[in-house]
Amino acid sequence: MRKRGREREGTATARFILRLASPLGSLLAPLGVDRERFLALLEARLIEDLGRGRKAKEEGSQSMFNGGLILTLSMQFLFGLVLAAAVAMVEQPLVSLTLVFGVMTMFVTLTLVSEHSATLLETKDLAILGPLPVDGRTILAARVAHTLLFFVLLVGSLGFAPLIAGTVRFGPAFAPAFLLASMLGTATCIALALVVLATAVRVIGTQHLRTGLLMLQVAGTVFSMLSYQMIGLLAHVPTDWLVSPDSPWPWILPPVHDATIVLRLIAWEPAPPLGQPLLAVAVPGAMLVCLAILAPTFQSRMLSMSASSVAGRPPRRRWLRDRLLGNAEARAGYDFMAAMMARERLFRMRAYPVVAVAWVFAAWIVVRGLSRSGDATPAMACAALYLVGASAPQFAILIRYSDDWAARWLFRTAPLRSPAMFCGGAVLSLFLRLVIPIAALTVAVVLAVGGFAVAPDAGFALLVLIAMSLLALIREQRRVPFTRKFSTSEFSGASFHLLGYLMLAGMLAGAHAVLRTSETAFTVAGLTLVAVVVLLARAFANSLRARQRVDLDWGEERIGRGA
Amino acid sequence: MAEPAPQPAITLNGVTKTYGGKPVLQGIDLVVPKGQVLGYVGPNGAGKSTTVKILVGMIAGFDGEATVAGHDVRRQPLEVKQRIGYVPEVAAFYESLTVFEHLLLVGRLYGLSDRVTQKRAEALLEVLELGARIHSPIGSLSKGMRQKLLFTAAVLHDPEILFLDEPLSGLDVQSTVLIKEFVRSLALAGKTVFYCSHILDVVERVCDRIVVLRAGQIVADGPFAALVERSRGGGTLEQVFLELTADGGASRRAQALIDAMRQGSA
Repeated sequence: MRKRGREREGTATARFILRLASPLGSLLAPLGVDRERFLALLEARLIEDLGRGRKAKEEGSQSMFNGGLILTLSMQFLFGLVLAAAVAMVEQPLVSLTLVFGVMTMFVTLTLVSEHSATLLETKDLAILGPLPVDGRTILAARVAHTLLFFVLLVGSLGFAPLIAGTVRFGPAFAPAFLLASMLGTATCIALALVVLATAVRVIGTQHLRTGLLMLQVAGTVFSMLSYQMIGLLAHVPTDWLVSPDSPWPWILPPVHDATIVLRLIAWEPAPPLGQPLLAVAVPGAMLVCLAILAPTFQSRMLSMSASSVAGRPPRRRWLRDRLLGNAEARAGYDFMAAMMARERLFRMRAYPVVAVAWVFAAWIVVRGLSRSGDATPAMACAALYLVGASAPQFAILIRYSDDWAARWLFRTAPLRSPAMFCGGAVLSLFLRLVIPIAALTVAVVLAVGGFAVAPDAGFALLVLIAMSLLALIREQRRVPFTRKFSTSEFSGASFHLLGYLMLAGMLAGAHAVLRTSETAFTVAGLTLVAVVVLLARAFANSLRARQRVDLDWGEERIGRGA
Repeated sequence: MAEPAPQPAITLNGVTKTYGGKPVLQGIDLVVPKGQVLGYVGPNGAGKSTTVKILVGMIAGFDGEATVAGHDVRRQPLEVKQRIGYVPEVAAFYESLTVFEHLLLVGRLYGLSDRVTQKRAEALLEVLELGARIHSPIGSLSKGMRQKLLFTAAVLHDPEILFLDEPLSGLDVQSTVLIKEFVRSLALAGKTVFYCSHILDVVERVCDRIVVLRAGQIVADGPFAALVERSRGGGTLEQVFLELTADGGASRRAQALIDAMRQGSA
C-alpha cells in the first residue's frame, strides 16, 4: 500500500511539472513538434526521474533529488550572493550585469557539458523510440525541455540574490527585465550547444563525432572555467573596453546583450544601442530556427552513433603490470580498468574535462604569477600542484559509473575471492595510467619553472596528494568499478565535486602558504604528513591482503528482480 | 556392501522467495543427480529465472536450503561459483571491451592462466564461428553473436554444472543444432545441465527429465515419456505443458486478444 501511495505521489509531481510545461508544447507546435507526443515523452522522463531519485535516496546514492542537487543549488546561491554585492555596489550597471550574466553563462555551460550532455546525447532510449511513430524533432524537443526544467532550478538559485539586489537598487521594473534576460541567456547557451550537436551529427562520421564531442566537452569546460577567471578580472581592471561607445565587445559577447536588455527595460541612461538587446533575442531565435531545420534527422543520426564497430587490436603485453601483480584477479582488474579507461564513454566524458581544467588552471596560475612578479614563487608553484593533485582522487569517484552497469552480473556470478584484489588492480591501473603521469608532469613543469627552491614545496604537495589518494582508495576499494548506474538525466553532483575540489585545492594552497611562513611548522607538518602517509599506506596494503569475503557495495539491488 | 549413493549435483529444499510480499517461489523441493540434463519449464513469471539466480548465487535472500555441487549456496557461494557456468537470460556486457578482453577477464576471475584462457577461447570461438571477431568490441556484435559469447564464457573454465537460461535465444539454426548436440555431449561427459527454456521441442529432445513450474510451484516432474503418459493432452511436451499451465483454451484467448485490439474503435 505504502509503495503504491508513493508511486502516486511521484506521478502527481511529474504531472504538476508537466502542467507547467504544457504551454511549451503548444509554443513548439509551429516548429513541427507534435504536442501530444512531446508531452507524453516529457512525462515519461519526469516519472522516471522522480521514481529513480526516490529509490536512489533510499539507497544512499546521489540523485537529482538527493544531496547532489541540493548542494549544487546551495553553491549557486552562494555565488549569487557575491553577484548580488556586485549589482548593489558597482557603479556602472552594464559592468555588474555583464558579470552576472557572464557567470550565469559559465555555470549553465559547465553544467550542460558536465551533467546534461549525456541527457542530450543518450542513445539507449532511441532503441525503444526508433520503431514508434515519433519524429526526431519531437524527441529532441522533449530532451531539451527536460534539460531546461533543471536549468530553471539552477539559474533560479544563482539569480535569486542578484534579482533582489537589483530590484532594491533599480526599482520593481528590474525584476521582470532580469528574468527575461536570464531566460534568454540560458536559451542561448543551450541552443548553441544543440546547434553544434545537430550540425555535427549531419556532417561528421560516427567515430569522429564521438571523439569530437568528447573534445568539445573538454574544451567547453576549460573555456567556461577560464571565462570565469576573466570575468573575475572585470571587478578590478579598467572597463573601458566594455563601456566605451566605440568598443566592439558589447556586440560580440552574449552576456553583454543580456545586460543591455535589462538596461533598456529599466530605462537606464545612457541607453545602450537598440541593436544589442535585440541580439539577445535574435541569437537564440536564429538558433531555434536552425534547430527546426536540423532536428528531423537527429533521431536517425543519433541511432547510428549508438553502435560502435571499430575493430579492436590484440591486447599488448603489459610488462609493469606483470611485475607488480602476481594475482590473476588483480591482473583482471588492471586490464579491465585499462580497457574501460580507454573506451568507456561515460568515464571519458567525465574524467577528461577534470584533467583539462586542472592543467589549464595550473597553467593560468603560473602565467599570472610570472606576469606579476616575473618569477615563479613557491606559493604559486604549490597552488598549481595542489590544483592538479587534488583532481586525482576525483577519478576514484568517476570509475564507479558505467553506461553498461548491468554487466555487473558478471562479477556477481564469478568466484571473486577477494574483491579488494580486483579493485586494487583496477586502482593501480588508474594510477599508473592517469594519476601518476598527471602528477609527475606537473611536478616537472613546476620544478622547471620554479627551480630547485620549490623542491621542498613540491615534495610536501606530493605527500598531500598521496595521502588524499590513499584515503580515496580505502573508501572506494569495496566498489567494483564500472558497476553503478549513472542515470543520464539526473544530477550527480559532479559540478559540485568539480567546484568543491577547486575550493579544496585553494584551501590546501592557502594552508601551505601559512605553514611556509615558519620553517619549524613546515618541517613538523612535513614529518607528520610522512607518518600519516605511512599509516594510510599500511592500512591500504592490509585491506588488499585481506583474503576474506567482504560484502561488496553493489549500489542499487535490482538485478534479482523479475522471475 | 552397497556403494554410497552419488552426491546430487543440485538440491533445493523448501526454497521460497518473495518480492515485496508477493511469492515467486513457494517451497520448491528438487534433487538433480550428477550427469542429468534437467529441463526447467514454465510460463512467464513462474519463477524459473529466480530459481536459477538463487542457484548461481545472485540472490541471497530466500528461505529454505539450496546446495550446488555439495556446497551451500548461501554459506559457500565462492565454492559454488567456481564449479558452475551460467548463461543468463539477458546478456548485458561491457560493450567497449573486445570479445577477447571479456573472455580474458572471465578466465582470470575463474583462476585460469592467460595461456589456457587464450587457447580455449580461440578454440571455442572457432567452433562457434566467432573466431574472426575475437578482437571486435562487444558493442558491434549481433544478438546471436552475443549469445555465442555468453556460451563461450560459461564453459571456458570447464564447469561441473551448467545453468542455461534460454541459451538458444537469437541463435541461427546451425548454432542451435550445435548447442543441442553439445548439451547432450556434456551429459555423456558427466556434467549436469540445468536448462531453462520456453522452446519446448528442444527441452523434449535434449533433457533427461523435465520439471514444470507454475506460479512458483512444481506441478510436474519426470522424464518426458512419463509426463506424456500421465497427461490426457497428447503426445508432445507442448500439449502436456498447456494442460498443466494454461488457464483456458488458446483459441479462446486468441479471440480475446483480437477483441481487445479493437476496443474503443468506431
